[in-house]
Amino acid sequence: MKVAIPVWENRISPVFDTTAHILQAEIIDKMLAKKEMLSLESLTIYQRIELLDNLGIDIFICGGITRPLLDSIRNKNIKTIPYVCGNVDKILSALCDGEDIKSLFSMPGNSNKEDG
Amino acid sequence: MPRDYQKKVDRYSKIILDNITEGVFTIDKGKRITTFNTAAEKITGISREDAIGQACYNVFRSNICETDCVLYKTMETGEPVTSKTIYILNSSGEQIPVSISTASLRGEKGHIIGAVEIMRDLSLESKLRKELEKKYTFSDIISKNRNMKLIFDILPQVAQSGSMVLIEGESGTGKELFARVIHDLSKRKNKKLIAVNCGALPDTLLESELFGYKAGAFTDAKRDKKGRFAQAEGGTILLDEIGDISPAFQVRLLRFLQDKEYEPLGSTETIKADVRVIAATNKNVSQLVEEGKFRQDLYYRINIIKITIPPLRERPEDIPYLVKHFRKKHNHILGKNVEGTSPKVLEVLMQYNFPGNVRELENIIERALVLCPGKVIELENLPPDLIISKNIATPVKIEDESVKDLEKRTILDALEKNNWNRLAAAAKLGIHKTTLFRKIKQLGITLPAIDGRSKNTV
Repeated sequence: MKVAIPVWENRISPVFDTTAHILQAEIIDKMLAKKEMLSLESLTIYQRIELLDNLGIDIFICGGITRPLLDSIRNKNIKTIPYVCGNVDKILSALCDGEDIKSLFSMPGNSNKEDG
Repeated sequence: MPRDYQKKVDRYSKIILDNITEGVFTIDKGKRITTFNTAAEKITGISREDAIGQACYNVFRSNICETDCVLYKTMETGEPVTSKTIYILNSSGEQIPVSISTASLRGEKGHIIGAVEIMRDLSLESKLRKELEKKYTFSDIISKNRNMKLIFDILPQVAQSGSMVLIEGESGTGKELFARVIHDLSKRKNKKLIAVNCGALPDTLLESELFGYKAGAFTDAKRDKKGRFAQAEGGTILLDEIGDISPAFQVRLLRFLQDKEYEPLGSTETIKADVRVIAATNKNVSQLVEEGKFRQDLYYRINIIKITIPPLRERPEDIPYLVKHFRKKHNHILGKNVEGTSPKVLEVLMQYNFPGNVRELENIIERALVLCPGKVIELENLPPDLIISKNIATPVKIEDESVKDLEKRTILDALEKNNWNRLAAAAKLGIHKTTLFRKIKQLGITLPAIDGRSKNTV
């Protein structure tokens, strides 16, 4: 399972639209098998969508994200969990353990929302 | 100060903070939110209970949090920041333009213990500016419809390609909005987009409007006048109502599109144009070609990329979102504070056919807001003829699969009724026998061995 998480100071970036880095990780048999940091600097939002698509990402976990961008990523059939915050290592560990990311790491004000 | 008096002062401070229109929040040195007033709750869509104690970047979600945090700078330097315009994301993922100012907070000994930020919602100014400047972005097109999403997916590539685009759609579907978004996403975005309604002008006027004229070209031409193509140089021109231009002007336009050159009326000089052309129409141009009303060669020239915008009645799922969008927009413009729409109103709107499409829906909502005395749009705020309209019909939402099933059933029915005689069934269906054979193959219809011509038919 390939996972992508926009990262800032080892936390989930508050806004994916403007973030500079993304962590690409691979989870095999509930274990973290690979981690790689990619630069998003100077990429437009459309190039960001293309990148996620080309990387073959299965799950995309992010913090704040504008609605059209969220819809476009979901249109690429990438499972997206938006409005998540917290330490990236803890989130990856929870994902390996099959825990509910939304309920554990929801951004303030988004825990009860459909996309939160 | 006596303790009771201190409590009273604190209570008043909180009342004052919650009654000002600007959002105010404070953070400690660890960037945790310590105060969050009512206006801040309204702007961010996040309650005080949810915000207090949280890291400010997870609540504020701005475009500068990662790279240029002004609160951090203020705490580091002690210097205030005034009236900086930024974008934040509210809890629904909507971009809100805000103007922010910051100041450091100092403790009793003069040390910096945190910072305060004051933010003003600029949505109203931004919306009005967009209306005035007609500057729209991708996020201004509101739709959850599958076919619209397919258009959204190709729009950036279409914009970047620089190719000619034909936008087809009924009146009021937002053809000009799509043209503006294509222009704004293209490399020509810093130049002008000029829109010309070709249907509104007779040939001679249209020619001088588009290509310009020299002084003396005709009686009233006292001075040289630049045409719309010259005004759009380096940018984009939208030729709206392209299906309405005369055969004579079609020839003129074709020549321009082939060579990208033109001569203003009365001029002998040929001008080379660098303009992207987007054509729009509420007519079916291919049908006009079949009817001989539109030149085929011109159609091929303009139909490099065709975008067909579905009418509103084919995407009723968008109506609640559009209603919300127009309610907010006209609340701002009219200075009202209508907070919602009653389910009955939505029910009526979802069943209406909207011959005037999105434009008609916007007019209905604007009218409803003008007449709405309370906080919620009610049935009595809708135009009476809408409620008793003949246009109200059961919403027709046929998915592709259903259409195929319907076709399959109709063909099988016709074949069965005609003893599986293909020719008779085709005649019954009013289609040519080759069309019927193609459809049978396309839809995967399995036919019995008998064909209706055999004497052994059942």
